[in-house]
Amino acid sequence: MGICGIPGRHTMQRVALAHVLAGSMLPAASLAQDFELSDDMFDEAEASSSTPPDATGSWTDRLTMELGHQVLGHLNRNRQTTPDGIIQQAHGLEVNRLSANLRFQELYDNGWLLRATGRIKAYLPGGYEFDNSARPDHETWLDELYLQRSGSDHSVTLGRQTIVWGETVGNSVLDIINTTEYRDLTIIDLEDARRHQWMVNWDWFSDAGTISGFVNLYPEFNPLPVVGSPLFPELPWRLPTARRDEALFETGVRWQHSLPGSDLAIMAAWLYENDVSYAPPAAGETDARPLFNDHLLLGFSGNRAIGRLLLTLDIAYSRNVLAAYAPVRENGSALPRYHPTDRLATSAGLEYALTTTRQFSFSVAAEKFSGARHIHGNLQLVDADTRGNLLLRYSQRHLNEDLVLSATLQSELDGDLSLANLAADWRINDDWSLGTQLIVTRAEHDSLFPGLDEDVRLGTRLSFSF
Amino acid sequence: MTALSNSGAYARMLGGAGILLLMIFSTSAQGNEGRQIMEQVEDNQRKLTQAAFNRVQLSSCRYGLQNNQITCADRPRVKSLETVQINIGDAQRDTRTISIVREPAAENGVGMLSYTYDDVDRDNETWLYLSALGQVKRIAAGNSEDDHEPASLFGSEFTTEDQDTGKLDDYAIRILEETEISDQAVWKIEAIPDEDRMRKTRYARVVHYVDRERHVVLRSDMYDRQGREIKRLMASRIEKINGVWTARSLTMLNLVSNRLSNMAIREINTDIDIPADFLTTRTLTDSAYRETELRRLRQQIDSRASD
Repeated sequence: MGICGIPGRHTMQRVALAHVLAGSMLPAASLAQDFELSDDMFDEAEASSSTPPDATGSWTDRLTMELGHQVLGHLNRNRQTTPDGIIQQAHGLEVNRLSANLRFQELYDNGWLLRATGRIKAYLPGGYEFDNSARPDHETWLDELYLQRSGSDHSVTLGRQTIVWGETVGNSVLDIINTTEYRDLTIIDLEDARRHQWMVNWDWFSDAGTISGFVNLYPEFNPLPVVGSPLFPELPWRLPTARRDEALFETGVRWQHSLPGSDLAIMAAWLYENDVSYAPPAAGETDARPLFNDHLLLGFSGNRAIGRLLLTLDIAYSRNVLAAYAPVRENGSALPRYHPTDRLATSAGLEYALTTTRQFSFSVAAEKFSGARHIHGNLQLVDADTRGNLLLRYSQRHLNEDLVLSATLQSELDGDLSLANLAADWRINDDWSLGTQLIVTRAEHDSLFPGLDEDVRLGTRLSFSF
Repeated sequence: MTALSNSGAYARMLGGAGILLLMIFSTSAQGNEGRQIMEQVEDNQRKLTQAAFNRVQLSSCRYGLQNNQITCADRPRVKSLETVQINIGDAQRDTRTISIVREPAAENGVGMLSYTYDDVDRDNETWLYLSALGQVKRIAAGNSEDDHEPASLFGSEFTTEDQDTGKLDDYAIRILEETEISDQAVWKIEAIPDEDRMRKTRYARVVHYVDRERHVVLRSDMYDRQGREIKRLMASRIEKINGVWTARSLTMLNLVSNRLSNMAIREINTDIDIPADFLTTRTLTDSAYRETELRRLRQQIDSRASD
């Protein structure tokens, strides 16, 4: 059985034009009508290639690239109240960048696979990253670079990769193997913020489930936001780049098993906290002191499908994480000190497919600190001993998923900080896509980012893939 | 058995028999015994879903009518897929299907795994892998107790509800009449879900047109609870594969949204040596394993062709 011929690009353009013209004249089919159907038209619309990308051809056939231009600006900005009065921050462009994303995958004989993905970004005038004294006007990232070898029961992956634990999409307390970077408000979802790390990962597949283990000999940490970013913290001292003075490592193991209607997993890991804690500078210094902290993680994750409803649950118990404590004083001016404590965290979510094209998900994550050690005197947690956040997502797909409308709401449970994102992503064709987002933030004065209160941002991104 | 009975191997690509199943035909249809026709349809269909490796093109567009002819009103969006399926279970009546997107390049590697069970008491299961999420996600998309549609398959008008295997016991099946469509003599067969199944399906009634000469379902009309026809499945390019007549082109028209999807089977290869472990969630995430096994399957087909 052969594969039909592949029409050239010009042919496809003519076909597309004919379809557009025809579409302007055609009435919609009514329910009661009988009609004829000739499927010859789908021969004209054959995929650009019927040959699997990894099967034959040169290496360039396995290379894909996406070029994009993104801008984001303010529609409204926070008004800061100072002793001198109310200061209205300037409106204008906040993000203006070009990017190129590359992806390459090559399958070799004997089950070896090489995969690499990377990004190049160039910052343009008007954006906070342009002409930034702390960094050049362009950056490159190597996201993935790994070799994978898979046999009948085993698979080993060596290189820069991600490992995702937990079931609650976007809000899992177990999804902490990899670091994240929320550089600015253009990155909303955890999936987009996840960064890769150099690791070796091993999977053993059997009827009793899958056992996976990893070792990370160079743990990385969540990078600080770029100076000038709306997420850059305003602190009285400088936060230096975290520098390690000794060899660090992380390791973990997970067992997964699928039952009818459910997937379950238990895991244990020795990890470093992704967010580096900073102790106040020593006397006479201006730089805060980074604290690398390792801890033990024990976890459970599971899901349960009930009809169109999917329930998810993640539980993480962490022993010896750092929490900030300060002496109990009425004026609250004492500097915090970090003490190891235990943390019980859980995230629970539900996903519901309202229709073929509309989906809704809701999740809550909460954590509670207890059992602080090495505390002397009258100390209390700087933050509440229990805190959490919620994530609500709604998406509606149209035109066979060419147009996706989505709404996201993230908020701390106490309401101090919240973000709403309305997005429309339009896949114009296989090559071009256009996305827009409207971001509204609200923050209390005592929250981590009071400068985000009442901010409204509007952005767009145009991309071309080939 | 739901509305989507379709032909052969790619029927299972969607995860199942359902409407697709009925698009195959009975070799022993007798009189107006609709149930027997459907049972035979399933038996024949399984001949094409046993250890099958297929290449499928999925095209979707908005449609309109021109001279009573359905025409795409915009340029169709096309995905090419590779699908692998096996029958399992004591009576080989359950099916496991995995579908991998090959084109467009930006979606290459996106996969869907479906387990469809013949047992009426056992819901089908589906997992999806999206590289953006970095993990396999169980899809809760079917068998809900309302009248909405379940999840779409790769953005097409085919849905996961069409994954249901036969489950004939859940339906009242009867032949309505013997008639003709497109100059072909057909049985017009009605399938109405019972109370339990009604709660799990959007299709309150399905009418199939089974070619009496070639025993192929040429068309299925799906109705909602208000009696409105909401979808229509049309089959064409009827060919005999492994001794079984089957439709190599299926078009699902959504009569509410005026959009359609065409599923064209470019290749059907059956009785391939497929390891059962390939039809597990591992294949969704383990790229090296997936691509190595797929390469072996392609080599089997190539060597068979050269013989």
